[in-house]
Order: sequence, then C-alpha cells, then structure tokens
Amino acid sequence: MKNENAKILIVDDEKIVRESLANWFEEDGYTVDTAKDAVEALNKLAKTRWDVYFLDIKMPGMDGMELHRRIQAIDKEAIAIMITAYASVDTAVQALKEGAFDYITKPFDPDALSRLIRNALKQRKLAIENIELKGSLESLTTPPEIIGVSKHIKEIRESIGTVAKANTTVMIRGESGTGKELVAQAIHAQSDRRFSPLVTVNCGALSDTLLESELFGHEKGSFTGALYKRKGKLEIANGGTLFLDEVGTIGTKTQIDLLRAIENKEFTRLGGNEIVKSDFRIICATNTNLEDAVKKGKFRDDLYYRMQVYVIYLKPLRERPEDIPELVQYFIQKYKTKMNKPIEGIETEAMNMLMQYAWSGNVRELENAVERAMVVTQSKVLQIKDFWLNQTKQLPSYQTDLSLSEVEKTHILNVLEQKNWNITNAARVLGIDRVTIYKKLKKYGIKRQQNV
Amino acid sequence: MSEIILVPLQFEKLFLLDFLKTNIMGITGISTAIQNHNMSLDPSFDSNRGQYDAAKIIEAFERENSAPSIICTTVDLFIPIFTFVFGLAKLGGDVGIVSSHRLENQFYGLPDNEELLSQRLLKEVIHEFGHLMGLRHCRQFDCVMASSTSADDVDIKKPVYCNTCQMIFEKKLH
Repeated sequence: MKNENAKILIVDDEKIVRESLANWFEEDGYTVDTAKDAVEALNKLAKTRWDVYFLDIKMPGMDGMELHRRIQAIDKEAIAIMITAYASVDTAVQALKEGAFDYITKPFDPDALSRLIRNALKQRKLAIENIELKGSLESLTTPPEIIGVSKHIKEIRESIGTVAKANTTVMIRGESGTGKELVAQAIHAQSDRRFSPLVTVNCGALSDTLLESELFGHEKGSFTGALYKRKGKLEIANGGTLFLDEVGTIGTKTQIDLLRAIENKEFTRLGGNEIVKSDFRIICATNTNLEDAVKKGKFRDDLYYRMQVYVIYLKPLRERPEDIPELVQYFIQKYKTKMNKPIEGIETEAMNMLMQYAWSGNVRELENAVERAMVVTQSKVLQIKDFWLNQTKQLPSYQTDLSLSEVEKTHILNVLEQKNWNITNAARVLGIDRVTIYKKLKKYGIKRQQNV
Repeated sequence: MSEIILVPLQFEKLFLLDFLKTNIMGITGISTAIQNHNMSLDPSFDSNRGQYDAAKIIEAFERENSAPSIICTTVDLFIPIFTFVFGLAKLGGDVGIVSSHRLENQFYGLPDNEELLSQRLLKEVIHEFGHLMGLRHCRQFDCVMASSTSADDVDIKKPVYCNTCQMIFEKKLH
C-alpha cells in the first residue's frame, strides 16, 4: 500500500497529540484526518473509512475502548492502535484482547511509531488482499449454469439451493448425459464448502481394489507397487465434497468400508493403522437401478439408505423438450467463442427437428450434436443438413393423430435406420420376413436416403 | 527565494556554522546567512522531561526578515507525543529547528567524531529545509528527505535530494 493511499484517523482529545501525529504522518505522505472525540470520529466514519485508527483510550464521553468496539462493528478489518499513558497499560492489554492491533504509550518513540505504522499497513494490505482474493475465488467457484426453462429444471435449481447449505448426503439419479456431475458441481459451489476441493471419483472406471486404494489411500509398501504413501480421495476432500459417480458399481467389500467412513468421518489407509479424520460431504450419482441391486444383494441396503438422504432425479431430455432451445443457444454461444466462428443461431426447422429427437444420450449428446453441426456448417445459421443425427439415429416418436399405416411406415423406417438398412436384421426386429418388408417399402414408397 | 537564515540558539558547536553555510549553498543553490538572535529557550524547557519543546521554540521564534530560518541548537528536543526529535519543521512553514544533541556520537557512548557530526547536522538542516519548502518524506532510502528515527538512519542518507525531490524542490522554489 503506497503511503498516499493509506488513510489514518487520529482520535484524541488533546489537540497537541492530534496535530503532532497528523503532521508526522503527513510528512510521511499519509492521508490523515483527526477527531477530538468518539462522536466526531463516528460521524466521520459514517462518511468514509480509514485504514488505521489511532484511538486514545482516555477521552471524555465515550472512551477509546468503546469507540474501538463501534469501529469493529462497522469495519471488521479496521486496524486500531490504542494510545495510552503508562498508567492505563492494563486497559490497552484489554483492547488487544478485544482485537486492537497494538498500543503505544505516550510519549512515543519515533522509531517504534514508524515500525508500528509500517506493520499496521502491511496487516491492512494483507486483509484487503485476502478479501479481494476471496472475491476472485468466489467468482471462480460461481455455480455452473443449469440451463433450461422447464418446470423440472426450475425444481432442480430449487432443490440444489435447498440442499447445498444442508451439508447432507445427496444422491443424484438420472440417465447418462443428463448432467449429474453438473448438479454435483452446483451443489458444491453453493455450499459453505465451496472454497475447499470438489473431488470426483468415477467408481465405474476402477476395479474394486483400485477404487479402495483411490478412496482410502495407502501406506508405503501396503501392496506390490505401493512405492510411496498416498493420500486417498476421502482425505483430499477434507473440508470439501467428494463426488462419487456410478456408485452402483462399487464392490461389496468397499461398500462396507465406505459406509463406515461416511458415518464416522474417519478411516485408515490401506496397510496402515493410523486413523485418518476427514470432514467431507458425499454427493453420489448413479444411472442404474440401485433398488434392484439391493434386492439382488449386490448393493448393501444400509449404504443405500445412507446415500439416499436427499435424492435429486434428473429427467431425461426427451421428457423435457422445452429445454432444448435454450440448451442449443447456450452451446452455440459456448462453441462460437471456442471455435471463433460467427454463427448466429439455428433455423426453425432444425430446432424443431432437435426438439422431436429422442436424445438417448441426453444433454451430452445434444451438446456433441451442436458442436459437430458448428464444425461442418458453412452458413451463419445452423441448418438441418448440419446435423448428422437426423438421418441415422432418430428414435420412434409417434404422434397420437397418426393413422395406423402412417405409424407402420414410420416404425419400419425407424427400425431400418437403427439397423443401418440391414433388411434381415430389421425383419427380425419387426417379426416379419424379408419379403414382407420389401412389400411394405414399396407400398409406402420408402427409399434409403444417402447419408452425408 | 533569496536567502536561507541559520540561527544559532544555545548552539555550542559554532565552528560548524561555516561548514553548514557553505554546503547548504552548494546543495540548494540558495545563498545562506548566519544570524544571531537573542531569544531564550528557557520558556520551552520541560523540567519533567529535561528536554526542550521544539514546537514551542518554533512558535515563539520571531524572524527578523521574511527569509526561511533554521534554528541550530545543541539542546535535546522533543514534541509532546515523541520521546525526542532530531529536528522539526512544518510543511510549507517559515521556521525549522535542528538539534545536534542526539546526532553526536558521545550521546551513544561512542568516541567523539566531529566529521560525522557535521555530516549528520548538514543532512538534518537540508531535511528540515525541505519540509519548509513543502517536501514530504521520501521513500528512497538514501534521499535526504527519507525519514530518520535514529542516527544510523541519518548516516545512510546522502546530504542531497533525490531526483524526484530535487524536481519538486525546484518547482516550489520558482
């Protein structure tokens, strides 16, 4: 902090002290103001803030101690230096206990005062930096956007807001690609744990023994290849959140250990005896039928209930097509910047097609489709031809006002698309022979279109 | 500004005045004169502290002409809030004061060193004169306008203004 940027307020009932200190600090280039009593100081405080306050302890009316408390209530980071005569050092010590930065005894040693003000300003600078850094961290940990206008998405946003602060275990359920990890990130980012790490473990990607080591860590030499002591994810997530994706795939042995770790917030590393304590919050996700796994004895019911404290169920995209336009616009904006391509939007026909598509891969598939379309497009507006999915992966989507023959035609076409126009395979699915298929194709005038 | 006046008041090191005069002129480019004054410092003496109140001396000093004056003294100076001061001058004021008392090696139990004392005193006179010219303390450690709270601090400084302070000094001068 440069001297001219540092502001000092001197509060003392003795004019000579106010003036001498003010002159001294002005010579050093500080911005200085004075107040003869607490009332004047508080009035000035209502208009502006100072970095350092010199407060005389003994003043008529409100004393320096009370004034210090009032200043602290207004500005928690304010630096107060108490001015005292030798007789009232006890009071100054009391002020230190209440959070004053330091005290000086009249008359001051110039050298001590110089050092004091330098240290005080260093402390103030650190406090300000700390606030600024927290602010920038805050912006870094801004919750990810949950895009959508549907009632379902609004409910999801509300659920996230409710559960984030509650510090409870959350289970996120939904098909692959519905954004389970995004919801976990949003919960973490809105919780009080947001400044600590969000640690993600994809349980499905690891074998049971590897997962065990990954979660609990291991001691050096605990198994072949354990050359070093390694912290587990449960330990790394201390103070933060542990996101366990695909919990349905966790083996029974690890389930027991995990349950114990979740309940006691303590565990031992593999091959170790030392009890490690960790304060973590669990968010888990699955796209499998856990209830079925519990019935079959593949998933422990006690762990199941421990994880099911609060459940967020994400509907597949096909059940909320009204979210598609906003999602598409969001992805266009996202990739427009990334690809540096001036793409303005999407044609209505193309959007209608996307809204009618069944999106078995959900939002992830939609995002990939938009990204691909933006790569191949030659125009400023995405068109039907830019989307590869429309001719190959369209899943059945029937309207209720269609005639039986129209449904039959669409169904045959869909099956053929799915089977890549392999007539034999399509006939097997439809439960008819190949000759009948050819007859139907002729009847409905169905011809294979050349793909892009 | 045509002149700087050096005023010895209870100043036992009179032999230093010519050295100061010559060097102040050399550094500031302003002609310097020595003027005796019959003011007594007794009213500024604080018997409790055994020191002289620098602010009171400055306040009581009556100049004989309009030139800025620097009082030189050997008495120990203080201002009420501080245990001591080497010197005192108000920013943009007319009168400053400098004491050799705590600039002497003897004060710290060291052998007398007149050469060192003369350098220290010169630096403090130039420093206080800088304040009279409106200069604030400088952050450059070897600039004469750097703040000094010990004799060692004074020794680190050079008896001249740094480039920035020199520029401000010349601006104020004209």
